[in-house]
Amino acid sequence: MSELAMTVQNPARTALAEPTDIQLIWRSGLAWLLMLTLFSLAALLVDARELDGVNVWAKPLKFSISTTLHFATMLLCLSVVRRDQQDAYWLRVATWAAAVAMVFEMSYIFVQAAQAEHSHFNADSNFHRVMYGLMGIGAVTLIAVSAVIGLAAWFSRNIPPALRHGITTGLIGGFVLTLIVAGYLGGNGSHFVGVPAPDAPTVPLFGWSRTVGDLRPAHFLALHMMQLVPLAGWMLARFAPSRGVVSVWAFALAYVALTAGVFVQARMGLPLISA
Amino acid sequence: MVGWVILIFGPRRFAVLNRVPGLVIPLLLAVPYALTVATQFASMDGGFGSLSEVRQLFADDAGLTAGWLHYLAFDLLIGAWLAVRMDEVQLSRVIQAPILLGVFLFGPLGWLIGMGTYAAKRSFKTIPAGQAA
Repeated sequence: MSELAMTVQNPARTALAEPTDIQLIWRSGLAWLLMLTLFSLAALLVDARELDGVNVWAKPLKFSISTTLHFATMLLCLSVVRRDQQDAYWLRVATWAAAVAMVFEMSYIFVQAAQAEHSHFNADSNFHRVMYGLMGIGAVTLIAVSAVIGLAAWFSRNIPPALRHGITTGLIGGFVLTLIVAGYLGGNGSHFVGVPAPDAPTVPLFGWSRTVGDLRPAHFLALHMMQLVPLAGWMLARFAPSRGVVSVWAFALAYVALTAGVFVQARMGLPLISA
Repeated sequence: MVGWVILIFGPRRFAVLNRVPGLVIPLLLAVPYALTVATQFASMDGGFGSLSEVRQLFADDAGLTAGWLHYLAFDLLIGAWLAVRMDEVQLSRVIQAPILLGVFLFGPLGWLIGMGTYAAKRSFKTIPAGQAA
C-alpha cells in the first residue's frame, strides 16, 4: 500500500500522535541522560583528578553518551511499534524496570566518579561488592528490555519487513552478544587480558589498550549492534525493499562474526589497534 | 525529611498532600528562622561582606542554626517548585526521583540537573511519537 493511500484512508496519521505512556518514560530518561552528558563533560573540563590514568569524569561521560544513544534507539524503535502493543502490560513492566535500572546505574557511576573511586570491579568493601553485583543485575535488565522491545517489533506486522527484521535481530542479537561478552568481561576481573605498562598507549576517549588484549572493544561492538542493525534495516527498507530481509540478515550475521573475531582477538591477549 | 519523602515517593494527585512540602514545612522552618534573625542577628559578629565575615557568622551557634534552617526551607521549596515544573512536562516519576534527591543533598546542583532535564523533556514535545492508531 502506498504512502498516499494510507494518508487518504487515515487522516489522523499525518497529525502529531500523543506519546504513549511508555514513550513518556523513555523520553524522560533520555532528557535526564542528555543533561548528565552535558554535566559530565563540564566536570571533565574543570576536574583534574585521575583514576587509572584517565580523568575521573571520562567514565560517566562515556556511559552517559552510550546510554543516551541506547534510549534514543529504543524510542526510535518504539515509534514504529503498534500503539496498542505499546500499552501491553509486559512492555510497561519492562519499561519501568529499564528506567529504574538506568537511574541506579548512572547515579552510582556518577557518585563513584565524584569520589574518584571505581564503580565496576570494586571489591574494596562488602558495600562496593554488593553494589558491583547490583550493577550487573541492572545492566542485564537494561539490555534484556531491549530484547523485549525487539520482540514487540516482531509482533507489529505493520512495520516494513526489512526494518522489522532489522529491529528484532539487532535488539535481540545485541542482547545475546552483550550478555556473552559482558558476562565474560565481568568474570575476568579486569577488562584487560594481560597487564599493560602504566604509561602504555591507549585509543583516545575510548581508553582501549594498544599493547595488550582489551575486552571493551568487543563489548562496544556487541552493545551497539542494537543501533547498527536496525539502522541497516531502516536503510534497506527505504532504498532496497525487494532484497531487504535477506540483506539485513546477512548484515546481522557479518556483524556477529566481526564481534566474535574482536572478542577472540582480545582473549588471545592482542590489542585491537597495535601501537 | 518528611517533606522530601512525600515529594519523592508520594502521590501528586492530592492538593493537600502537595502543600506539605510546598508550603507547610517551609512555613514551619521559616517562622523560627525569621524569629532567630529578628532577635539575634544584630548581636552576631560577622556579616555577608567577605568570606571571613561569613565564617564568623557561622561560628556563632545561633547563626549556624539560622543558616541550616535557611538551607532546609529553601531546598525544599525549590524541590516542590521543580516537582510542579517537571509534572507539567510529564517527566516520569522514576526520573524525578534522582533529581529531587539531588536537590535534597546538593541544592543548586540538583536544581541545575532538574532544569536541564525539564528543558530537554519540554523540547521533545515537537518530536513525532509515531503514527496515530
